[in-house]
Amino acid sequence: MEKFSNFIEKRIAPFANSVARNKYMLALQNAFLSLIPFITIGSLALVIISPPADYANCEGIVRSIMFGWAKLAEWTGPTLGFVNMVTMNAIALYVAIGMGLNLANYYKMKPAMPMLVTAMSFLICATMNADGTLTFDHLGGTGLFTAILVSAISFELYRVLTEKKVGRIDLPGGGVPPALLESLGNLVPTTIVLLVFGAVSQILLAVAGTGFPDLLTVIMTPIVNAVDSIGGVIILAVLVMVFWWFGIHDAVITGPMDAFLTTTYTANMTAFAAGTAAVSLPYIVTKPFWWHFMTIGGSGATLGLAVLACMSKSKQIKTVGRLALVPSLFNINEPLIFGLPLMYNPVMMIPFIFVMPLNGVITYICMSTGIVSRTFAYAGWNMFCPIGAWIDTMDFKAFLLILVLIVIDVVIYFPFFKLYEKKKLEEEASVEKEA
Amino acid sequence: MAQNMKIVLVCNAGMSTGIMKMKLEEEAKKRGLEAEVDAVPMVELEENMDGCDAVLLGPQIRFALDDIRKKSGGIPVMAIAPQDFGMMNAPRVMEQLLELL
Repeated sequence: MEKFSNFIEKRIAPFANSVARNKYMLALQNAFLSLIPFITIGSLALVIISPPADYANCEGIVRSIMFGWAKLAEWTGPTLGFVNMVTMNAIALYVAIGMGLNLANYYKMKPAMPMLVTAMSFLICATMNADGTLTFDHLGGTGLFTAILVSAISFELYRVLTEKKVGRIDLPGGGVPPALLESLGNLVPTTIVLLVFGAVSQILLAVAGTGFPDLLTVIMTPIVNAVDSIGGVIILAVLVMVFWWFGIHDAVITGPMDAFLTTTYTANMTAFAAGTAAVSLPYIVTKPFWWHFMTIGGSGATLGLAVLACMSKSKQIKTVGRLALVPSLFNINEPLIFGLPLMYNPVMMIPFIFVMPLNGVITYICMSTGIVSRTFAYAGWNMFCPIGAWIDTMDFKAFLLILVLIVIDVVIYFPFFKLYEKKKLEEEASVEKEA
Repeated sequence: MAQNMKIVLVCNAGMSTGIMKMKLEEEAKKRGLEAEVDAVPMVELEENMDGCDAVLLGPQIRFALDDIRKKSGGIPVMAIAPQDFGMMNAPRVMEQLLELL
């Protein structure tokens, strides 16, 4: 076991580090991190202006509630509609700005210019039509891949040009304001970057008849569809859980995956805002699908396990359970992973790795058959899952589904947990005997 | 060692280390030490590292230990042992931390 874990540490650590601490990954993750409040506000705005049922078809108290909700939606609609639109339908633009900012911070550069360069390069690539007109359709989710790619390339180009002092304009005299030094001094690099992206976009439009966003969508669609499938869910979830079984954070997988899950999620939200019914939204596997329907209580879907641990006769397990219970409600389960522990625990390996993919499969089936609505809002990964899933879909059946999943998860964990508990109790008894 | 310790705790999202942060601050108080503990996500480590006395990593990102050590500019960096982190064993972590400083 020792040898095995040493081998894993030596082999996986450098790989995990190179992915999770890759500068583009860090910049992207940080950009998404700053956007969390806005995504929450934007999706809650949409929830408020979308009564889940038409009051005309309801009866009794539900009718009154839905009537009130419809009135609220009518009254707040114009304002909240704007809020939803500017937060969600321009999310790719904000990612471009965020990537510029964070990459600049990474290189300890002044961020103002790089942010503007990445944002404008993205706008050049995302807003131009072949016939010379402008479109704003790709500032949201469909432009996400373009934003990531263009920001990374335009930033690097700008950085290299400024580092090499290409066309650096040195303003003479000591009285020049520093802000001006930075912006005017780098006029030439800025011009070069914008011209390059303008020219490449123009060539692409002339040759292919389509811009970056459509082209990238064509290239990425097979991968998006692979993620949005039962097979994709199983493979990704098993991989994530294998990493966690080694006690290594899942950012290696979920970091890159975030771009895909955000794309599918924003596509759903846009479709819902345009009037598509929640049961027939384009995608099933989205950010809320992953964080509220699969990782119930944290990676490994350990919410039920935390309750089991609380009631254990083993001192150690009980201590960990009490420590883990409240964080588990908010989907934080590191105490269980490292304290129970689940990490490197051969007895708990099977449920720990396979319960979460199973949640994914069951939810996928429920959503693909239309039993439960698909997700179009996202209440944030720290939201208590039954409530979170309810908000994400505005479907009470989602709330019930999560309760059912929790029960299924507990049933699967239970025999393995008992086996492990027995082992722990024996250990504790023998320690006591010696003492 | 400085009178007022500044410790930065890092994990991927700065969430689970939030619990450890509270426990460490309590532990410091018990020992009559002045300690300011910050729990930050890994992506925000660089901007929070300046001027701190030590960086502690959650075990889930121990893979980044060497990398962060290289970039820490002499600030001591330590990964918290999985078991200590899981049991939120602040006294043990504090002992190791004091040894490190």
